Amino acid sequence: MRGLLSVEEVVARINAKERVVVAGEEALLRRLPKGDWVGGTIPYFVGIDGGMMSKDKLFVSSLPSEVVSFVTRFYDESELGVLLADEPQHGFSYLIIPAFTAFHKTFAKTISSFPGVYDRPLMGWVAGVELDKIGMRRPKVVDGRTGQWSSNHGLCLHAELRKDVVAEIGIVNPFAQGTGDVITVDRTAFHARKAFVNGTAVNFAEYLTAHRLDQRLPLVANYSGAMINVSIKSVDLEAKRVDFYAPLFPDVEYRLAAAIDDYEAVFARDVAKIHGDPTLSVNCILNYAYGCLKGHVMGEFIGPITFGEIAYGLLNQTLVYMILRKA
Amino acid sequence: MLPPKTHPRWKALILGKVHGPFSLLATQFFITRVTTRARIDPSAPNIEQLIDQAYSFFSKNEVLARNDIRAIFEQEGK
Repeated sequence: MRGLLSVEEVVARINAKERVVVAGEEALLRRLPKGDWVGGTIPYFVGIDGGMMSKDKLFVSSLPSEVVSFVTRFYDESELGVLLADEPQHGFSYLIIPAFTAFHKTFAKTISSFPGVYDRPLMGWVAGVELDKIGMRRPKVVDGRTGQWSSNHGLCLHAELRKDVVAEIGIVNPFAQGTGDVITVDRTAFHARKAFVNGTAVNFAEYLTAHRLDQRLPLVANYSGAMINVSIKSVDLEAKRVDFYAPLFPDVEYRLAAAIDDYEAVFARDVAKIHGDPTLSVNCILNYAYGCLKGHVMGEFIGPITFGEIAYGLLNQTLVYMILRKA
Repeated sequence: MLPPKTHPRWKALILGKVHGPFSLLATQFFITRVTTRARIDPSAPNIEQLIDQAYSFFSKNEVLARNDIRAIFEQEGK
């Protein structure tokens, strides 16, 4: 079961020993009893009627019967290696990170350098707050088993699966690399002053401004066929600096995404290629903020709209899903 | 059953000479990482280590990555 429910409906499910992951406003999550659940704060969702904001509903995803058991644990940013070591031999891990934290930044910048990070399925999302409350409220995560909250730690649910199924993590990214300049950087960071355009050093803020590039389009890298976005947060010409929602990495070639005329049509086309129903799914707040999700029906790919999506690493402007498949 | 680590396609994979297409997201991330690392440090010990990592990755993902494994080893000679 996945969908938007009232607090009372979620309480009933938790009290009935259902195992769930929950997303919603902090005030609503605080009304839930202890039980087999984890949660994170966010008031935006893709429901059966499309993208929406809700302050009176929670988005609930039930863990299916194929999940034999699970453990939960908080991690700080120095414990990413421990998090990976805790991943089950046969299962998946579901990580929720409070946005704007040291854990958020460290995870994004370093997780791909850990040995074995791609060996086992890791998905999740970055918890947030209402967009006009950024800076006033802190995103949080909560472990329903203990009732413990955190605005600093990543919370991971490590689920052991039945032997006859395996968890596949996938993405749907409507963006692809455009045919423009190749952009590279010389250090890993969430911001850039200097970048290299076709090998020539430029100030990246000046470059984006001079070329009147649409800053709603992400930079896209091709990871052996997977199109991976880094979204532009702001361009500050005075400070000569561009900030991003995920880090740029050296040794990776980026291009600005090709423009999309009809996001919903592209999305529908890409989703139709996926066989199987998702157990878990998350989408990106930027796709909502840029008007690509509001009221648009996304089929089975419903879930929280987040401040960052996790599929092994931090992604932007991307749908992430998990499907259980026969082993 | 995966081919042994001594199979030449493992080294070809690490050196970026196998171009897929790869379908599993984890494979796509993994191959990008190991080929980048091989480009930065092409020394024999590093290549050996990356082959070990590739063997371990595909051992743990043999079911989901079966099409990718086929793509790696059926391209032999192409």
